[in-house]
Amino acid sequence: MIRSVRASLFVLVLLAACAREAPSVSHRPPATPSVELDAGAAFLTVARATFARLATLDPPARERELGALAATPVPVSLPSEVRATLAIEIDRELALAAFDAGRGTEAVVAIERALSTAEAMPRRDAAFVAGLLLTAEVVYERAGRSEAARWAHGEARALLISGADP
Amino acid sequence: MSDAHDDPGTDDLDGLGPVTDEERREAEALARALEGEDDERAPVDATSTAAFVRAVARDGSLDASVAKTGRSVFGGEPRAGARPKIVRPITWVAAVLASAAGVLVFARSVVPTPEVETASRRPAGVVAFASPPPVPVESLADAERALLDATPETKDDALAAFREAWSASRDARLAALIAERGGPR
Repeated sequence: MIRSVRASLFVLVLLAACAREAPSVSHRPPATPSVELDAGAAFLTVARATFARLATLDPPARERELGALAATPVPVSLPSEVRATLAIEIDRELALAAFDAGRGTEAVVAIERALSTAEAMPRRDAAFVAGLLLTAEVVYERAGRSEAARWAHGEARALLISGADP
Repeated sequence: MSDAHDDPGTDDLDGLGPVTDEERREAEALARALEGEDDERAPVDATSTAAFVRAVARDGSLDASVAKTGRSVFGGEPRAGARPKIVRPITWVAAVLASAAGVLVFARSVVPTPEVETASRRPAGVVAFASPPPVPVESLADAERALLDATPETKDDALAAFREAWSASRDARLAALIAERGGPR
Protein backbone atom coordinates (compact mmCIF):
# COMPACT_ATOMS: atom_id res chain seq x y z
CA MET A 1 0.00 0.00 0.00
CA ILE A 2 2.64 2.48 1.11
CA ARG A 3 4.83 1.34 -1.73
CA SER A 4 1.98 1.93 -4.24
CA VAL A 5 1.32 5.43 -2.94
CA ARG A 6 5.02 6.14 -3.00
CA ALA A 7 5.25 4.94 -6.61
CA SER A 8 2.27 7.07 -7.64
CA LEU A 9 3.77 10.13 -6.00
CA PHE A 10 7.02 9.48 -7.80
CA VAL A 11 5.19 9.31 -11.13
CA LEU A 12 3.38 12.57 -10.38
CA VAL A 13 6.60 14.34 -9.45
CA LEU A 14 8.23 12.99 -12.59
CA LEU A 15 5.37 14.24 -14.77
CA ALA A 16 5.43 17.63 -13.08
CA ALA A 17 9.13 17.87 -13.80
CA CYS A 18 8.53 16.94 -17.45
CA ALA A 19 5.81 19.58 -17.69
CA ARG A 20 8.17 22.24 -16.44
CA GLU A 21 10.92 21.17 -18.79
CA ALA A 22 8.72 20.87 -21.90
CA PRO A 23 8.89 24.10 -23.90
CA SER A 24 5.56 25.86 -24.09
CA VAL A 25 4.07 26.11 -27.55
CA SER A 26 3.72 29.84 -27.21
CA HIS A 27 7.50 30.09 -26.82
CA ARG A 28 8.21 28.36 -30.08
CA PRO A 29 9.67 30.58 -32.77
CA PRO A 30 7.11 31.42 -35.45
CA ALA A 31 7.30 29.18 -38.46
CA THR A 32 7.97 30.59 -41.91
CA PRO A 33 4.49 31.23 -43.30
CA SER A 34 5.43 31.20 -46.96
CA VAL A 35 6.70 27.66 -46.64
CA GLU A 36 3.79 26.29 -44.63
CA LEU A 37 0.89 27.98 -46.39
CA ASP A 38 -0.58 26.26 -49.40
CA ALA A 39 -0.50 28.46 -52.53
CA GLY A 40 -4.24 28.13 -52.98
CA ALA A 41 -4.90 29.05 -49.38
CA ALA A 42 -2.58 32.05 -49.72
CA PHE A 43 -4.47 33.26 -52.78
CA LEU A 44 -7.83 32.76 -51.08
CA THR A 45 -6.55 34.67 -48.07
CA VAL A 46 -5.53 37.60 -50.26
CA ALA A 47 -8.88 37.47 -52.06
CA ARG A 48 -10.73 37.43 -48.77
CA ALA A 49 -8.77 40.44 -47.53
CA THR A 50 -9.48 42.28 -50.76
CA PHE A 51 -13.21 41.61 -50.61
CA ALA A 52 -13.28 42.64 -46.96
CA ARG A 53 -11.68 46.00 -47.82
CA LEU A 54 -14.18 46.84 -50.56
CA ALA A 55 -16.88 48.05 -48.18
CA THR A 56 -14.61 50.86 -47.00
CA LEU A 57 -13.60 52.11 -50.46
CA ASP A 58 -15.18 54.34 -53.06
CA PRO A 59 -16.08 52.83 -56.46
CA PRO A 60 -12.85 53.79 -58.29
CA ALA A 61 -10.67 52.39 -55.50
CA ARG A 62 -12.78 49.23 -55.45
CA GLU A 63 -12.28 48.80 -59.17
CA ARG A 64 -8.51 49.18 -58.75
CA GLU A 65 -8.44 46.60 -55.97
CA LEU A 66 -10.57 44.21 -58.00
CA GLY A 67 -8.43 44.77 -61.09
CA ALA A 68 -5.31 43.89 -59.12
CA LEU A 69 -6.95 40.77 -57.76
CA ALA A 70 -8.17 39.74 -61.23
CA ALA A 71 -4.64 40.18 -62.58
CA THR A 72 -3.14 37.91 -59.93
CA PRO A 73 -2.52 34.41 -61.30
CA VAL A 74 -4.84 31.92 -59.67
CA PRO A 75 -2.98 28.83 -58.41
CA VAL A 76 -3.83 25.78 -60.48
CA SER A 77 -4.13 23.81 -57.27
CA LEU A 78 -7.47 25.48 -56.63
CA PRO A 79 -10.44 23.49 -57.96
CA SER A 80 -12.07 24.88 -61.09
CA GLU A 81 -15.28 25.44 -59.16
CA VAL A 82 -13.50 27.68 -56.68
CA ARG A 83 -11.73 29.59 -59.45
CA ALA A 84 -15.04 30.10 -61.27
CA THR A 85 -16.68 31.32 -58.07
CA LEU A 86 -13.87 33.81 -57.51
CA ALA A 87 -14.23 35.10 -61.08
CA ILE A 88 -17.97 35.53 -60.53
CA GLU A 89 -17.38 37.39 -57.27
CA ILE A 90 -14.91 39.76 -58.95
CA ASP A 91 -17.27 40.46 -61.85
CA ARG A 92 -20.20 40.96 -59.51
CA GLU A 93 -18.25 43.46 -57.43
CA LEU A 94 -17.08 45.22 -60.59
CA ALA A 95 -20.71 45.46 -61.67
CA LEU A 96 -21.73 46.91 -58.31
CA ALA A 97 -18.83 49.39 -58.39
CA ALA A 98 -19.97 50.58 -61.81
CA PHE A 99 -23.56 50.58 -60.55
CA ASP A 100 -22.60 52.75 -57.56
CA ALA A 101 -20.63 55.05 -59.86
CA GLY A 102 -23.66 55.47 -62.11
CA ARG A 103 -22.16 53.64 -65.10
CA GLY A 104 -25.05 51.37 -65.95
CA THR A 105 -23.77 49.94 -69.21
CA GLU A 106 -20.46 48.84 -67.68
CA ALA A 107 -22.36 47.34 -64.80
CA VAL A 108 -24.51 45.30 -67.16
CA VAL A 109 -21.48 43.99 -69.03
CA ALA A 110 -19.82 42.89 -65.81
CA ILE A 111 -22.89 41.22 -64.31
CA GLU A 112 -23.66 39.38 -67.55
CA ARG A 113 -20.10 38.08 -67.55
CA ALA A 114 -20.69 36.80 -64.04
CA LEU A 115 -23.98 35.17 -65.08
CA SER A 116 -22.31 33.45 -68.03
CA THR A 117 -19.61 32.05 -65.78
CA ALA A 118 -22.23 30.80 -63.33
CA GLU A 119 -24.19 29.17 -66.12
CA ALA A 120 -21.14 27.21 -67.17
CA MET A 121 -20.55 25.80 -63.69
CA PRO A 122 -21.52 22.15 -63.32
CA ARG A 123 -22.77 22.63 -59.77
CA ARG A 124 -24.40 25.79 -58.47
CA ASP A 125 -25.74 26.75 -55.11
CA ALA A 126 -29.33 27.99 -55.34
CA ALA A 127 -28.91 30.88 -52.90
CA PHE A 128 -25.71 31.92 -54.67
CA VAL A 129 -27.30 32.01 -58.13
CA ALA A 130 -30.43 33.70 -56.79
CA GLY A 131 -28.29 36.43 -55.27
CA LEU A 132 -26.50 36.85 -58.56
CA LEU A 133 -29.81 37.19 -60.38
CA LEU A 134 -31.02 39.75 -57.84
CA THR A 135 -27.84 41.74 -58.36
CA ALA A 136 -28.49 41.54 -62.10
CA GLU A 137 -32.05 42.77 -61.52
CA VAL A 138 -30.96 45.98 -59.81
CA VAL A 139 -28.20 46.52 -62.36
CA TYR A 140 -30.65 46.05 -65.24
CA GLU A 141 -33.11 48.40 -63.58
CA ARG A 142 -30.49 51.09 -63.19
CA ALA A 143 -29.50 50.67 -66.85
CA GLY A 144 -33.12 51.01 -67.95
CA ARG A 145 -33.35 47.39 -69.05
CA SER A 146 -36.74 46.73 -67.45
CA GLU A 147 -37.50 43.56 -69.41
CA ALA A 148 -34.18 42.00 -68.43
CA ALA A 149 -34.80 43.11 -64.86
CA ARG A 150 -38.16 41.33 -64.80
CA TRP A 151 -36.57 38.19 -66.21
CA ALA A 152 -33.89 38.22 -63.52
CA HIS A 153 -36.50 38.86 -60.86
CA GLY A 154 -38.66 35.94 -62.04
CA GLU A 155 -35.72 33.58 -62.24
CA ALA A 156 -34.56 34.53 -58.73
CA ARG A 157 -38.05 34.11 -57.30
CA ALA A 158 -38.52 30.70 -58.92
CA LEU A 159 -35.16 29.65 -57.62
CA LEU A 160 -35.82 30.78 -54.08
CA ILE A 161 -39.25 29.18 -54.02
CA SER A 162 -38.23 25.87 -55.47
CA GLY A 163 -34.69 25.84 -54.07
CA ALA A 164 -33.63 24.05 -57.24
CA ASP A 165 -30.87 24.96 -59.59
CA PRO A 166 -32.32 26.68 -62.70
CA MET B 1 8.00 -19.69 26.83
CA SER B 2 11.14 -21.46 27.79
CA ASP B 3 9.08 -24.57 28.53
CA ALA B 4 7.71 -24.57 25.04
CA HIS B 5 11.19 -24.46 23.53
CA ASP B 6 12.41 -27.08 25.88
CA ASP B 7 9.54 -29.40 25.10
CA PRO B 8 8.45 -29.06 21.46
CA GLY B 9 5.98 -31.88 21.94
CA THR B 10 3.55 -29.89 24.05
CA ASP B 11 0.86 -27.53 22.81
CA ASP B 12 2.06 -24.73 25.10
CA LEU B 13 4.65 -23.53 22.58
CA ASP B 14 4.65 -19.88 23.50
CA GLY B 15 4.07 -20.04 27.20
CA LEU B 16 0.57 -18.60 26.77
CA GLY B 17 -1.24 -21.79 27.57
CA PRO B 18 -2.43 -24.67 25.43
CA VAL B 19 -3.79 -23.92 21.99
CA THR B 20 -7.59 -24.02 22.02
CA ASP B 21 -9.69 -25.87 19.47
CA GLU B 22 -10.86 -22.64 17.94
CA GLU B 23 -7.31 -21.38 17.52
CA ARG B 24 -6.33 -24.68 16.03
CA ARG B 25 -9.16 -24.51 13.47
CA GLU B 26 -8.18 -20.97 12.46
CA ALA B 27 -4.57 -22.00 12.15
CA GLU B 28 -5.54 -25.00 10.03
CA ALA B 29 -7.57 -22.76 7.77
CA LEU B 30 -4.64 -20.40 7.47
CA ALA B 31 -2.30 -23.27 6.79
CA ARG B 32 -4.61 -24.60 4.06
CA ALA B 33 -4.84 -21.18 2.48
CA LEU B 34 -1.09 -20.78 2.52
CA GLU B 35 -0.49 -24.25 1.18
CA GLY B 36 -2.97 -23.62 -1.58
CA GLU B 37 -0.72 -20.86 -2.90
CA ASP B 38 2.27 -23.14 -3.10
CA ASP B 39 1.69 -26.83 -3.70
CA GLU B 40 5.34 -27.65 -3.23
CA ARG B 41 5.41 -26.35 0.33
CA ALA B 42 5.70 -28.93 3.07
CA PRO B 43 2.56 -29.45 5.18
CA VAL B 44 2.22 -26.88 7.91
CA ASP B 45 1.87 -27.88 11.50
CA ALA B 46 -1.36 -26.28 12.57
CA THR B 47 -0.56 -26.12 16.22
CA SER B 48 2.78 -24.40 15.73
CA THR B 49 1.28 -22.02 13.25
CA ALA B 50 -1.59 -21.15 15.57
CA ALA B 51 0.75 -20.47 18.43
CA PHE B 52 2.99 -18.34 16.26
CA VAL B 53 0.11 -16.34 14.85
CA ARG B 54 -1.29 -15.79 18.30
CA ALA B 55 2.05 -14.70 19.67
CA VAL B 56 2.81 -12.16 16.96
CA ALA B 57 -0.78 -10.91 17.04
CA ARG B 58 -0.41 -10.16 20.70
CA ASP B 59 2.88 -8.52 19.95
CA GLY B 60 1.06 -6.29 17.45
CA SER B 61 3.39 -7.03 14.53
CA LEU B 62 1.05 -9.17 12.47
CA ASP B 63 -1.36 -7.55 10.08
CA ALA B 64 -3.50 -8.77 7.27
CA SER B 65 -0.99 -8.22 4.50
CA VAL B 66 1.64 -10.20 6.39
CA ALA B 67 -0.71 -13.11 6.80
CA LYS B 68 -1.73 -12.98 3.12
CA THR B 69 1.76 -12.85 1.72
CA GLY B 70 3.06 -15.49 4.07
CA ARG B 71 5.89 -13.23 5.15
CA SER B 72 7.15 -14.06 8.62
CA VAL B 73 4.50 -16.66 9.35
CA PHE B 74 6.96 -19.38 8.54
CA GLY B 75 10.01 -17.27 9.21
CA GLY B 76 12.74 -16.25 6.74
CA GLU B 77 12.34 -14.32 3.53
CA PRO B 78 9.03 -13.79 1.76
CA ARG B 79 8.14 -16.47 -0.71
CA ALA B 80 9.08 -15.74 -4.33
CA GLY B 81 6.22 -14.21 -6.27
CA ALA B 82 4.06 -13.69 -3.22
CA ARG B 83 1.88 -10.65 -3.67
CA PRO B 84 -1.15 -9.22 -1.92
CA LYS B 85 -4.16 -10.42 -3.84
CA ILE B 86 -6.19 -7.27 -3.29
CA VAL B 87 -5.06 -3.96 -4.75
CA ARG B 88 -6.64 -1.32 -2.61
CA PRO B 89 -8.91 1.27 -4.28
CA ILE B 90 -6.63 4.15 -3.32
CA THR B 91 -3.91 2.56 -5.41
CA TRP B 92 -6.18 2.48 -8.43
CA VAL B 93 -7.22 6.10 -7.85
CA ALA B 94 -3.60 7.19 -7.61
CA ALA B 95 -2.70 5.28 -10.76
CA VAL B 96 -5.63 6.77 -12.71
CA LEU B 97 -4.81 10.29 -11.54
CA ALA B 98 -1.18 9.86 -12.49
CA SER B 99 -2.16 8.55 -15.94
CA ALA B 100 -4.57 11.43 -16.51
CA ALA B 101 -1.91 13.94 -15.49
CA GLY B 102 0.50 12.31 -17.89
CA VAL B 103 -1.96 12.50 -20.78
CA LEU B 104 -2.68 16.17 -20.07
CA VAL B 105 1.00 17.06 -19.90
CA PHE B 106 1.67 15.21 -23.13
CA ALA B 107 -1.26 16.85 -24.89
CA ARG B 108 -0.18 20.31 -23.75
CA SER B 109 3.32 19.81 -25.03
CA VAL B 110 2.28 18.37 -28.41
CA VAL B 111 -0.93 20.07 -29.54
CA PRO B 112 -0.39 23.70 -30.57
CA THR B 113 -2.90 26.27 -29.48
CA PRO B 114 -5.17 27.72 -32.19
CA GLU B 115 -3.80 31.23 -31.69
CA VAL B 116 -0.26 30.12 -32.35
CA GLU B 117 -1.35 28.08 -35.31
CA THR B 118 -3.09 31.11 -36.80
CA ALA B 119 -0.18 33.39 -36.19
CA SER B 120 2.36 30.99 -37.60
CA ARG B 121 0.42 30.35 -40.78
CA ARG B 122 -0.55 33.90 -41.62
CA PRO B 123 1.37 35.06 -44.68
CA ALA B 124 3.45 38.16 -44.31
CA GLY B 125 1.63 41.34 -45.16
CA VAL B 126 -1.84 39.88 -44.88
CA VAL B 127 -4.19 41.59 -42.52
CA ALA B 128 -5.27 39.52 -39.56
CA PHE B 129 -9.00 38.84 -39.46
CA ALA B 130 -11.15 38.71 -36.47
CA SER B 131 -12.97 35.38 -36.70
CA PRO B 132 -16.21 36.16 -38.51
CA PRO B 133 -19.41 34.98 -36.92
CA PRO B 134 -20.79 32.02 -38.83
CA VAL B 135 -23.30 33.19 -41.39
CA PRO B 136 -26.04 30.67 -41.93
CA VAL B 137 -27.24 30.24 -45.45
CA GLU B 138 -30.73 31.13 -44.27
CA SER B 139 -29.68 34.71 -43.53
CA LEU B 140 -28.58 35.27 -47.13
CA ALA B 141 -31.70 33.55 -48.42
CA ASP B 142 -33.79 35.71 -46.07
CA ALA B 143 -32.13 38.86 -47.37
CA GLU B 144 -32.76 37.68 -50.92
CA ARG B 145 -36.44 37.05 -50.22
CA ALA B 146 -36.72 40.47 -48.58
CA LEU B 147 -35.23 42.06 -51.68
CA LEU B 148 -37.59 40.10 -53.93
CA ASP B 149 -40.61 41.27 -51.96
CA ALA B 150 -39.42 44.82 -51.41
CA THR B 151 -41.63 47.73 -52.40
CA PRO B 152 -40.14 50.77 -54.16
CA GLU B 153 -39.99 52.46 -50.75
CA THR B 154 -38.10 49.65 -49.03
CA LYS B 155 -35.98 48.53 -51.96
CA ASP B 156 -32.88 50.58 -51.06
CA ASP B 157 -32.79 49.22 -47.52
CA ALA B 158 -33.44 45.69 -48.73
CA LEU B 159 -30.65 46.03 -51.30
CA ALA B 160 -28.20 47.28 -48.66
CA ALA B 161 -29.10 44.38 -46.34
CA PHE B 162 -28.74 41.94 -49.21
CA ARG B 163 -25.29 43.26 -50.14
CA GLU B 164 -24.19 43.02 -46.52
CA ALA B 165 -25.52 39.47 -46.17
CA TRP B 166 -23.81 38.48 -49.41
CA SER B 167 -20.47 39.89 -48.21
CA ALA B 168 -20.76 38.07 -44.90
CA SER B 169 -21.69 34.84 -46.63
CA ARG B 170 -18.78 35.18 -49.04
CA ASP B 171 -16.38 35.86 -46.21
CA ALA B 172 -17.59 32.75 -44.39
CA ARG B 173 -17.27 30.66 -47.56
CA LEU B 174 -13.74 31.89 -48.19
CA ALA B 175 -12.78 31.31 -44.56
CA ALA B 176 -14.03 27.74 -44.80
CA LEU B 177 -12.10 27.18 -48.05
CA ILE B 178 -8.93 28.60 -46.51
CA ALA B 179 -9.33 26.44 -43.42
CA GLU B 180 -9.81 23.37 -45.61
CA ARG B 181 -6.42 24.06 -47.14
CA GLY B 182 -4.68 24.48 -43.82
CA GLY B 183 -4.84 28.24 -43.55
CA PRO B 184 -6.23 30.37 -40.75
CA ARG B 185 -9.95 30.51 -40.34
